Amino acid sequence: MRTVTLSFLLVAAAGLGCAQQWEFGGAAGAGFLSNVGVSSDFGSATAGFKTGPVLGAFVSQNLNTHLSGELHYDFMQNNLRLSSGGSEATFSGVAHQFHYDFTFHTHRRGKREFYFVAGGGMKVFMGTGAPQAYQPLSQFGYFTKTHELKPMVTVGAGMRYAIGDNLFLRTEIRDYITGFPTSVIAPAPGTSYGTILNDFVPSVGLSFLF
Amino acid sequence: MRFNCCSITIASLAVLLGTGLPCSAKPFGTVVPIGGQASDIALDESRNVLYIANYTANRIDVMSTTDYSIRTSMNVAPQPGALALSPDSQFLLVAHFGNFAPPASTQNVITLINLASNTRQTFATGDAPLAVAFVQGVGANQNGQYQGLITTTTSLLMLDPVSGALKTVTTFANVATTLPSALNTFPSAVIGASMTTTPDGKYAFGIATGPSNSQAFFRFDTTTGQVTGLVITSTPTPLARLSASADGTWAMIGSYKWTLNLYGFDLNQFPNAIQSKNIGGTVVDSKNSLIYAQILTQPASTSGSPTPPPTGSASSATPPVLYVLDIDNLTVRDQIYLNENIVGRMVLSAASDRLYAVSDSGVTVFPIGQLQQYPRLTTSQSDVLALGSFCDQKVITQTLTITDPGGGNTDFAISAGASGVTISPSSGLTPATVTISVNTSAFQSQNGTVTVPLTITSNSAVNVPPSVRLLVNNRNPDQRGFVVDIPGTLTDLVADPKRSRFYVLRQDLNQVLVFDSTTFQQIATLRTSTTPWQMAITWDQQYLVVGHDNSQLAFVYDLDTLQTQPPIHFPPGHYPRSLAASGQALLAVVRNSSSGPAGLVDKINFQAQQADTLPSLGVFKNDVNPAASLAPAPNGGTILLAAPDGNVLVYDATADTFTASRQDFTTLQGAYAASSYNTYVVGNNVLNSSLVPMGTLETSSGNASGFAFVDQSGLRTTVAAASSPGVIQRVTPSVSLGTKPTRMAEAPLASSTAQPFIRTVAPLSDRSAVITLTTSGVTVLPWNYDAAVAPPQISSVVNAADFTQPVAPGGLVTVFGSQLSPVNMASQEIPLPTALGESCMAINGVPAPLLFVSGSQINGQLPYTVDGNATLSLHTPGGVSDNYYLSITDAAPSIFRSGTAGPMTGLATVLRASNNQLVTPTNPISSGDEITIYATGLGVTTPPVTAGLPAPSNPLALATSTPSVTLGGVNLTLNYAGLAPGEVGVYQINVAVPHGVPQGLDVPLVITQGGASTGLFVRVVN
Repeated sequence: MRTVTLSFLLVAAAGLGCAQQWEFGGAAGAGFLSNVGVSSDFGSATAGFKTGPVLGAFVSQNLNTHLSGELHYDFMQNNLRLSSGGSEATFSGVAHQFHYDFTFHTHRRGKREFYFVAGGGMKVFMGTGAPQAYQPLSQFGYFTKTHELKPMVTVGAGMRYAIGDNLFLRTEIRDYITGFPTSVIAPAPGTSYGTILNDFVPSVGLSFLF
Repeated sequence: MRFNCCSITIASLAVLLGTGLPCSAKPFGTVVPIGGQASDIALDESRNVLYIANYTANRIDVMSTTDYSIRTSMNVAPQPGALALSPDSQFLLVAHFGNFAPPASTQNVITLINLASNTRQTFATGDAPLAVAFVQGVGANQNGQYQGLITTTTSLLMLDPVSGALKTVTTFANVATTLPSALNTFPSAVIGASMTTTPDGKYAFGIATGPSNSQAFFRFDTTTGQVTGLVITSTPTPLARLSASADGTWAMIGSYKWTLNLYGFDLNQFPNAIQSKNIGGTVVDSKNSLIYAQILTQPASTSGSPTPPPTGSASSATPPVLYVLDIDNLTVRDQIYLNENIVGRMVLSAASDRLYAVSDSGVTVFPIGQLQQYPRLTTSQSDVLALGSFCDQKVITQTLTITDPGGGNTDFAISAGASGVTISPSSGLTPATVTISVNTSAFQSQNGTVTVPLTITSNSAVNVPPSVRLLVNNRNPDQRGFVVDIPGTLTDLVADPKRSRFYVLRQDLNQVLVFDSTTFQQIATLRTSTTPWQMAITWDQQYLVVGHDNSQLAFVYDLDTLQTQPPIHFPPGHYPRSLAASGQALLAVVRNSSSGPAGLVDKINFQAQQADTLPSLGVFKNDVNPAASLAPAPNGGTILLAAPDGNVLVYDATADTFTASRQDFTTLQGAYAASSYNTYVVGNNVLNSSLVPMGTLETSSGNASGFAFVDQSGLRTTVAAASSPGVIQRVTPSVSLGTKPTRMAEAPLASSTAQPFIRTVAPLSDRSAVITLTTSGVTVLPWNYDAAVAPPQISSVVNAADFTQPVAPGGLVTVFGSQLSPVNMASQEIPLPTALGESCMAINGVPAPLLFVSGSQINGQLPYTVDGNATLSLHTPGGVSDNYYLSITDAAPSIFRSGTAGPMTGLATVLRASNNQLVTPTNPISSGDEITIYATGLGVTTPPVTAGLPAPSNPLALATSTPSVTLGGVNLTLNYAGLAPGEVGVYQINVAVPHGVPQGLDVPLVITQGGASTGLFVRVVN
């Protein structure tokens, strides 16, 4: 709860530096999540999330020529996964994330503009499948129908291409970095999990400047 | 001639007796008298009328199908003997049998009535017309117009009802008989001929009986114009009452089912049918896969087949009944009392809800669609077992539930024909559960199983109440084996040579019962054809082949898949009874109802699915007693043929022929077996490879029942009387010496005149046990049944849930030790028996209900009435254990660890109500969940429950001492704590999980009751 409050304070602070232009847009892409290694007496496995679609919306405020601030919301379809020795167990899951990123723009070259982003926010991992008394690979971990909030760091880069007077096409790739959600995929007793989860999301979007 | 006289006598007897019903019977159906003799009927559903040919009054009576009144009558030419209505309801065709003087009479005519225009045409047929039908047009007449088909005494004619053209389809031998007929009889030519069609008129079936009693039976196929016919010489002669299946592939002829196939035809016949001149009828209900029939039968004891109908008997001395039969193998589903005998055609309405039949007074109407609303009786089981144990020589009580299949309140009365048996209540209304109490002291002198028939009667039930047998067994400690109840008529027993199974033939329901030989539980039921007689396993051990006394097929089953394979077809008139496989040939002894010897040996071509009669049995004539049986040697080298007339033959697989035949005895029956070492046993006689008697086995223990070779020795059972214990002993045939005779729990089946040889002993292939066919079903004996058995030793007594020490009244307990039971066995009975296998357990001297017994573990239930210090003792054939002292506390809750999920076993039986799955780390408890905990040891209940009985559901049996349940130290809301309804000794605790319970992988769930508590760790999430 404390981290959520902090995020919104950041957003509010960015809003204070209100400048001349606002940009609103949406994007779609796919989330490629890294897995973490699992080791136990039963052997080794990997735990993580399957690749899934990502839909997002954002509002951006130009702070100056090279800097803007963006508030993002993304919805991610991230089914939970455990795999070991050619076997795989999955469980339905989704994630919601809010983040505020600073965008550093390059000089505009024609209609193109490159930018780099860095920021942070919160990500909610949710296991949404139906619990079963028996789950394959449960010697490594337990899929759980619950939710877990994790602080998140965002880095990325992209290109904005003007396709109209106020309309832009955005292509970008971001890495959303969180700790591994051990409540949603709970390590079985006697197992040790990796701690950092990277979610690489290439996306394409449209934005409107007003 | 003598044959005819006999038939008429039986038929007349049935007529006389058929009108009298027992005081307890209420017949089904409404009789509509017509003031004459009805000869045929035709149903016109478009006009809601039934046309009735009143043969003696020379008219067609028209009966309303709404109120069953005779609405009008149409006077017609003399002697209307047969009727047919065209499927479009436009024409009514009437045959007039006027054959007073051969060769013909001018009264031999047919009348065609146009029902639409109310006009008539009359056509002279020359020869007397016997039967009529309407079929689809053939060839040039395939114009949608139905054609009349007429059977005369010499030919089959076709009439175009529009043009009036009459032409001959085919001719056959003259079957004419003349009028007038003798008093009190009906002209045999009229009732000896009949025709029927499929509903679409595509196929017609007909039968005509000739003066010499031979019968011509034919099928007319309008699609090809072909007539397929045969001459039947069957015993008993089929009554000429026909009904065809909707697809035209088979038809019922009296008590016979005639099926066309690629090989020609197959016949099935109803068991124990006797010849009838006029009584009987049949109709096929293809829509519901049923046959309704009245078939005269004789009592089983006097029949050629030992098979009585399964639910009561229907001999000529009993009231007339309507059988409801399965269409595939003529199994009796039900028997309905009739007002009077059916004496002609039966017609079913298109909706299959109403049945019309020509009967003694005219017509009887059966509202079969409403049969469910009529009072009927059925019972929950066919057998009631009262198994005494040497722990408990007191009164045994069992229950039997009597219901009306339609759910109604039908009166009943039940009685037992033996002293020492009381039934309460002995009468009442259904549904009712009656308690049968057996005072074992009344059966003290009989240590085998006494069969007491329970007679059920009703003043209002329209069906024949099922027969129930009470089986009272009062064994002593020296009697070995445990009984597995199998109701019905059992006629053969075979152990699978490579699978853990054995097969039992249940003849009355036409079934092979497949049993698992490790659990002795029935695992499958295979339907056979009519009256299965004996089984054989093919030499490759892949197939089970079943012969039948009333079917010309041998059924084949794949033993790996237990799927039915294409059957083996036998020559016409051959009913394969006994079968045996050698390494060279699969042989069958057949009952031959066609010309030739009464019994023959056929050789089966398994690949071609056909059997052919051997021209000779080597140098011997192929003419054997039809009750002969075949026994294969285990090594496939020989097959023994043993006949009740004393003849024995042996087939040598190497020579592929019969090599020896002798008759050193006047009669033979009972045991029969062949060894792999050229030794044979028939009855009490041991024969050598040339079938020369080489010794006689002792007879002091009773008559020979069964024998099975095990290597060069054998296992033999004998029986002195059905209610005495049988004796099993190991035998060395070479010296005719039996050793270690051991009394069995009950008597093995004895042979009968009808089936003089029955296999009653089957050693399992893994040599773990010996199965014997006995009075109640089968008796299982350990392989080393005659070994010295040490007394049982008890090492610990714990609760059966988590195997910890505290135990409470009414709780399930586990006894660990050694020599606790000679066999492994789980109870399938409710109430739980106090003796299981060959063990019984007493708490403070009171027998306790048992769930499972094995050599090292016994599971049972403590009585609810014991508390504090108690003694437990165990009784087995080895003796009585030392007393084991245990402390019984008021409450000792313990959660079962018997749950399974996927490959995981031993899980605690805690379930989440939301998905009804066990709580595990992957199905954790969540805040707001309701969970159900199954446990034992919660002690006495309110209301109290008797040990061994299932817990009631209304009212629920609440634990007198209320437990509390905590999760992570937080009290859960208790919704229920008491016995689980329907379970024995199993308690159920329902609790709700509030919000705010601690989360984690190992949160303690604790049940506390009185001063006792139990717990386990569970995963909890929010």
